[in-house]
Amino acid sequence: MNQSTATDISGFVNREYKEGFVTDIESETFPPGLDEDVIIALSAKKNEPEFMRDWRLKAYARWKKMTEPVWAHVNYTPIDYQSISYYSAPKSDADRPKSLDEVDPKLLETYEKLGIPLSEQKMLAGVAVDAVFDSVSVATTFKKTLADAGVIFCSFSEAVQEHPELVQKYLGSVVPSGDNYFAALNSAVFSDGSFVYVPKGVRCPMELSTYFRINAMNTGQFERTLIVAEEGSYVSYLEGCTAPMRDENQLHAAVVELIAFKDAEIKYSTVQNWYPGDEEGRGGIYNFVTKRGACRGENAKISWTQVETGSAITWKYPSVMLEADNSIGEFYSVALTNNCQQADTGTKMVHIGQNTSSTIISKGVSAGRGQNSYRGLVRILKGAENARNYSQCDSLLMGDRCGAHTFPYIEVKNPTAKVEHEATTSRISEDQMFYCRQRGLSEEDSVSMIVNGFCKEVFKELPMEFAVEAQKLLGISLEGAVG
Amino acid sequence: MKVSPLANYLTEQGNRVAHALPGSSIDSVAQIRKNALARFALTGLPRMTDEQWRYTNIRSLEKHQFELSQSSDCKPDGVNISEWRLPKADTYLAVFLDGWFCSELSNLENLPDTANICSLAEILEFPTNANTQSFELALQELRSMSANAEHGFTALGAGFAADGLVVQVGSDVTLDKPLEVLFLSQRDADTRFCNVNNFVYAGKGANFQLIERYLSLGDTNHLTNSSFTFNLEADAQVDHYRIQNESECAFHIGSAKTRQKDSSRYRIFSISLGALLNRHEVIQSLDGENSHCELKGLYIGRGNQHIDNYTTIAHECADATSDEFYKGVLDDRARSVFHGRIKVAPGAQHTDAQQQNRNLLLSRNAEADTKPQLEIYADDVKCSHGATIGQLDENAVFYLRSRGLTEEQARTMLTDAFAAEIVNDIELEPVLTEVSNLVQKKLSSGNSIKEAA
Amino acid sequence: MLSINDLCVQIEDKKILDGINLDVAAGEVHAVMGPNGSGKSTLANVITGKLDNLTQGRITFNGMDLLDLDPEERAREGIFLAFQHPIEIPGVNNIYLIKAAVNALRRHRGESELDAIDFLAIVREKMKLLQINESFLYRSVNEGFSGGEKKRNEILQMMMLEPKLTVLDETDSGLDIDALKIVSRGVNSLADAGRSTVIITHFPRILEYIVPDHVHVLIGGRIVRSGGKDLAHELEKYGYTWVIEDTPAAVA
Repeated sequence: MNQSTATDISGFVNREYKEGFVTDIESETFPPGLDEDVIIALSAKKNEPEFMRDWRLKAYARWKKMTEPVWAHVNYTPIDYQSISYYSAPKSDADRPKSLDEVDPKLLETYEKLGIPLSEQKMLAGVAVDAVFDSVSVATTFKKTLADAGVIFCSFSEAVQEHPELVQKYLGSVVPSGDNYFAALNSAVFSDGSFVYVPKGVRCPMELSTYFRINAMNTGQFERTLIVAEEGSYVSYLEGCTAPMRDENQLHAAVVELIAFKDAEIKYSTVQNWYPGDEEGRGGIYNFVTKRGACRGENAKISWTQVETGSAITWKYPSVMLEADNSIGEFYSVALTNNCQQADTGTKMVHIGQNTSSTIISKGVSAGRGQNSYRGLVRILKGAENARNYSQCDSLLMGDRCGAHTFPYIEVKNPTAKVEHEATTSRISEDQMFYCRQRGLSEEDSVSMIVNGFCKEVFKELPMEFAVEAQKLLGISLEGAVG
Repeated sequence: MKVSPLANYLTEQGNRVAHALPGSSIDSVAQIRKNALARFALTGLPRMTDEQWRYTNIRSLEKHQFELSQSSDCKPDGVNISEWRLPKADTYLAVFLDGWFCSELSNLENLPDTANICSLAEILEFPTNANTQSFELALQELRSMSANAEHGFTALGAGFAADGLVVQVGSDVTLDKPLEVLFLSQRDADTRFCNVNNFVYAGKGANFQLIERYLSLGDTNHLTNSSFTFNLEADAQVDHYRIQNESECAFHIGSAKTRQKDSSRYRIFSISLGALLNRHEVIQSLDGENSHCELKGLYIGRGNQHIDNYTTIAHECADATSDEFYKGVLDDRARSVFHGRIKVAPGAQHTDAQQQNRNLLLSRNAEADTKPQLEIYADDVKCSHGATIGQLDENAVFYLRSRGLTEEQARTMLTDAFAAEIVNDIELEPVLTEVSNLVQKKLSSGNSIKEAA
Repeated sequence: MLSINDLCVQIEDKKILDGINLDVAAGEVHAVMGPNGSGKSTLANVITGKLDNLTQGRITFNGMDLLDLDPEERAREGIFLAFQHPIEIPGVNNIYLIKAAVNALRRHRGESELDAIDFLAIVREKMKLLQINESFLYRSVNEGFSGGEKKRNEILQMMMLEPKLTVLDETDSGLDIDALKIVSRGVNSLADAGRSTVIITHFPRILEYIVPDHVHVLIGGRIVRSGGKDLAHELEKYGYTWVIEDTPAAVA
């Protein structure tokens, strides 16, 4: 072995979180605690119609009866739901900005630091941005182009006001309010999020992108996203997240619902880079997310792609209910856990219609003391003639203190189904490292290149500029970790 | 937790019959049974909410009120053992009738002095200086079953501990003949609870083959609860063949738990054909370096059969290897469950663990659920698993038909070939022949194959 | 350019190299020949930094002590190894690796990085010489490559990196005569007074295409004989046994 321990990859553990700072903005924040009155107040503050308030209250009643799930392969100190504040908004809430000029410059500065290009360049690039700062949308751009195409892309609060009939029709139709503990909590207290409606036959003229950001102290984030793609439509939605450095754990329990009708396609891409906690596992975001899509019409397609590098704990299973014949579900995932991060993530593909097919490609990278679990369900119901699933779960281990786990569940009730699952475990070989270094690459670059290669099948599913960002993120995540 | 009526019934029964069980006058024995029953009273029988029983519902079993088999139930008269023992095989033979060792039908003569094989009941009832070691082994294992019971059936096994086989093979002993352990259920075994616990110790460098067989004399709905534990010292080699071919009305819960030391080798073939509800657990602990285990399984279900294979392999130290391959064929309304967990402990570097599970669904109403799992805490390892569920390759069927075979012939041939991949790996000739015959017979009895004619 | 003095390498009690002395001047081509297990690949691994368990000896490269340098630093100083068994790197585009390597070198030299267009133009030209199809660039590094393709890929990388010292570790093994000619053409295309080549091989045939100035016979970890290119011909005629019999000291 050469002197600089080229192959001692176990050292790849340390990095500074690049997005660490707290913006000082006066927040109008509820005192911590949760009961029916808080929900009623929240609903009133958002000026919601009665059906929304009742829906929240019903969800809360369900949540109170539920217990927090314990089956995931993760450990964390119990969450005190009464110590969380369930509403916080930037002060300018009363008078929402009409354009970027009206946005609090400090906020814009925050986005600058994060490298979120909420700016001319981004617009030129054809991306509309609905940025969520804390819990309320503060800027939405490119509305006109979208409006011309008939696409509705707005904050969830706005959708409740402007399109209550659509919200009422589809909210909770994929993830019922009592679906699971965190989804129920979200249903009761969700603050804001995004709403997308793509009418029949419309190909959304641009990628829709939302950056989420957790900010005010002790404020749980409960985003709600709903995307409806009518017959023959197409939409690609990008979600990226980052959070400032802090010491307290923050709960994030989002719900995303996707509905694709006949011949429609929804592509949902996520790059998640929330604060993962420090090297000892202090702080960091708890990311308990419910994401589910339903293919409600023939030939509908829903594709999830995620790159998960952040959060202290990730609990997330973007799923597809393949209800209609010939519908397609896809799940492409890269999950990286370093230091003390824990991820329990995967997908559910439920085959209900005939000739439905699903693909699952999961790449887990474990470093430091990180624990990375793939958990997935492939269920072929009795009526799902000729259903197809292919799953591949690969794990890459870096160092001897991390863990990589694979927990697939496969249930087949129809003999015409064809289901294949494969899983492998590997590490970066010494020969691969030496080969790259012999070509003049540094250890870090070599590792980054090999890890990116390992994840390539997933990255190629991301929209181009997101893919570049994701690759960089992976590089950063392994940076400063050599020797 | 809510305990089912059957569980309550069994707990009461256990307390009632305790005084009549072998060794009940020995405090340590009685205490183990008592503790195990107390544990069972708490946990009850497994529920589907238990992750390890996620896909297996024991409702059908709970419909019956099982009565523990009494030693007086064992009636060897009129049993012609040559009809039932492994054909064309020269073996040491231990026969059990409804869970009780039957010396009249067994043949354990001419064993080497360094090998000791005897009935658990006998050891518990009549501990002597000669069988002290076996007594200690049995007690230790029963205690462990009681204390570490993974589920109700294990606790039940210790709580009702009566008979079974205790096998001690000394260092560097190679048995000249396989040991055949035959568990027969008798014609009147309806609702009988046959509980056996078997303990096998292989000394350093010991080498032998063990054949574990289950057969029924009638179509009875008895419950078999059978456990085997194996302790392999360094360099020991044990080949374990298990053929479960009980009545298709019966309930069968079985397990093989093995601990292996350095450079030992354990291989098991688990062939599951019989019983209405069948569960077989293989729990491996590779505790020694360079130890190796192989788990091969074949299960074939028809009618309403439910077959659950639950396996875990724990790589506790470096340089151990494991190879697991289970295949299943499901016809009619049969259901199968495969659970395969491979755990690689921290520090267990250079582990090589491979696992495969393949299922063939022949009928519209058959179902297969599979749950392979990798849990890995070391980086320099080679681990993989694969699982498939599907039907026969229609291209292959067509190919064979284009060569002049009928559709039935084609399907039968391909199904046989699917099963043969496991069967043909059996090295012991009489077992190979027996399993081949049973598999052929079983495969041709499912309705889908017949309908294809 | 490269100077090796009294190099000894031991791997697990076994002496693999036992007092190697070798001087390669700028512009020279040296062939190191020997039977399997004679220590040839170990020599390549020590020069490039894969192995560092020297028991004694010194290696300098243009006056620098090589042993102080990491593998990538040696590469950036201009040492290139064409691997005997190039490793597969799944998911990493060939072109991506080559571009990253070229730019790492350029940065090291204080040059600006090549942009994608210039880079592509250069790489295409080199590929023509090696008769490599463009699809080659977009496949994962060595993954699914045939033996010949792997070797050609090594030479392509060499041509792109323009090293000062190239070590060819059995680059000829497994190549048919046409491929051997192509590969040799690639190596020769780089030849000039400032660059040196060390060819490690046990077949003299490659030396018909890349003509050496010096030939060394390595047996049992020692250079038992050195000579001009004619030595290779003699080896072809009489085999290694002839050298061993002729050099009793080598049998140790």
